Formats: sequence, C-alpha cells, structure tokens
Amino acid sequence: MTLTRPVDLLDHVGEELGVSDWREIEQAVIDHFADVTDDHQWIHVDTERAAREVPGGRTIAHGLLLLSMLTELGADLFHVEQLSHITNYGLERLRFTAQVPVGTRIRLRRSIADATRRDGGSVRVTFDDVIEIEGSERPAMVARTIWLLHP
Amino acid sequence: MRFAHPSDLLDHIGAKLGVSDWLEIDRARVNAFATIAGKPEPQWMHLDAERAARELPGGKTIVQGYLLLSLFPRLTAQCLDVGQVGRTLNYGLNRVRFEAPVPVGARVRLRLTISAAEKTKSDGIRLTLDCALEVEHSDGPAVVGQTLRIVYP
Repeated sequence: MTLTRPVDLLDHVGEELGVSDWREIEQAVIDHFADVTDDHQWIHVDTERAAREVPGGRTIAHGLLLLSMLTELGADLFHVEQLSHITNYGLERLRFTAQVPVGTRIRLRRSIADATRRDGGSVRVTFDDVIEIEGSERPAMVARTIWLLHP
Repeated sequence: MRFAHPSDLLDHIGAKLGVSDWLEIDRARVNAFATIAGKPEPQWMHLDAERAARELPGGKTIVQGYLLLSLFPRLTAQCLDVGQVGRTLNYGLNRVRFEAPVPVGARVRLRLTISAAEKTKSDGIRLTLDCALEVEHSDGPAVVGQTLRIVYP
C-alpha cells in the first residue's frame, strides 16, 4: 500500500496491509539478540543441550526477538511518501502463542485496526499483527502495536 | 526480593520488588540492536546524530523502544529471585506505553511490582508484573507495561 500522507491511513481502517516475505530464524540471529539483551538462557543458545533436552531438539527463538523483528518485517508492507519518522507508541495484549525453533521461517500479517488524527498532521495507528509460522496453523505471536506517524 | 519457592509468590500480590541496578544504554548496544530491527535508513532517529540534532525534539538520538522492552527480562532477574524453579515461560505483555524518549547513553533501571499471581492447572504460577522503566535524572517513567510469565517448579 502506498499513501501520500499519514492521514490517508484513516481511509483504510479495517483493511489488511498484507503479509511480509518469509524470514528464516537462524542461530546467528538468536545469538546476536542474546548478546544485545544479555539473555543467554541455554534454551536459546545451547544447541547441544537443546538437542538432548528440548522436544524437537532445536533451540528456541526468544519471544522478544520476534517482537523486535516487527519493524523489519513490516517495513515493506506500506509506504507513506510524506513521512518524516515513526515513533513507537506502545502495544496492547501481546501473546507468544507458539515456540519458534531455530531454522523456522516466519512472516508478518498486518492489518489496520484503528487510526486517529493528531496535531500537525500526525496519525496514531494501531496494527493487528500476527507472526505466522510456515507450515503451521498456530501463529507464533499476536499483538496490537501502536505507532505515531509524523509527516 | 527472594522467594524460596514459586508458590510463595501467591502470598505477595501487590508486593513491591524494588528496582534493578542502573544500566547504561550505550551507542554500541543501540547499533547492534539496529541490525535486528532492519535497514539503517528508516532508523535515523536511533542512529544518525546529526539528523537527530536537526529534526528531533530534544536533539538526540533515542533508544529503540523494543530494545528497552527486550532488556526487561535481564533487569527483572535482578529484582526477582525465585528458588526451585524448573523453567520460566514468558508468554506475553499487556498494555505497554513508551511514555518518553530515552536518549542514547542514558542510564535506566526497572521498578517492579507483583500485580497478580495465580496457580495454573499445570502447577505453575502465572505471574503478572507491573514494570516501570526509569531514566536517570528524569521525572516519570520512560516505559510502563505488564509482563506475563508462568513459573514452573
């Protein structure tokens, strides 16, 4: 979806923006996230122990890694021409609904749940975000994320 | 705060767990996180000091909101010590608000309160924590939200 101004989002409330490309969760990404957040729990980074002790035998991505990938996964779903920057406003009711083992491919399905006009042509937009897992009916994560778009 | 067993959490609903140590969010951490969040150009408010000086209120690059949230488990571990835990499942978040920007280089800490605790059918303790991320020398928290976890003995 391509829009001219942030306020044009108000005409598309209730619409699905689409789905991102598939993205494979590699161990290198999990390890990098573990380093950045100082979260080195073995279930995420110890591939040998995971092979022995985790059902399925693979390490599991941090839930917050999935959340942190929303920005990238959502980047190509819509484009606003007169946009200065986007501010992260918050989120509502996020649930990690399935584990994502290393090597899994995920994608983002995003819809516009709400959009409200603010001062100066800015818009507060709420997305219904679902991170889907290839080959699985059950999503990995569902959330409502809220953003401010500044012209 | 130290709990000998997960079920002890049930007796402390409403308890203040205190605050974590201060943690400086330095430029290296913000840059490293940016590679997870995607292409550099759309993230100029986190990465480009010159443009931030011109275009952002406050004039400084700011820390990614999701990086702050992603540090909650590490900061929580400093305030909440539960004995005899088999595993902990982080299963979600409720109502998170990024209330104020955090400039790169600022020091932050997390203040925690037990908002709810209940037994699950599978003998775990479902725990809701009220979290407020404070910034040194600032009034009011930069991030507020609830984290949800199940602690299994």
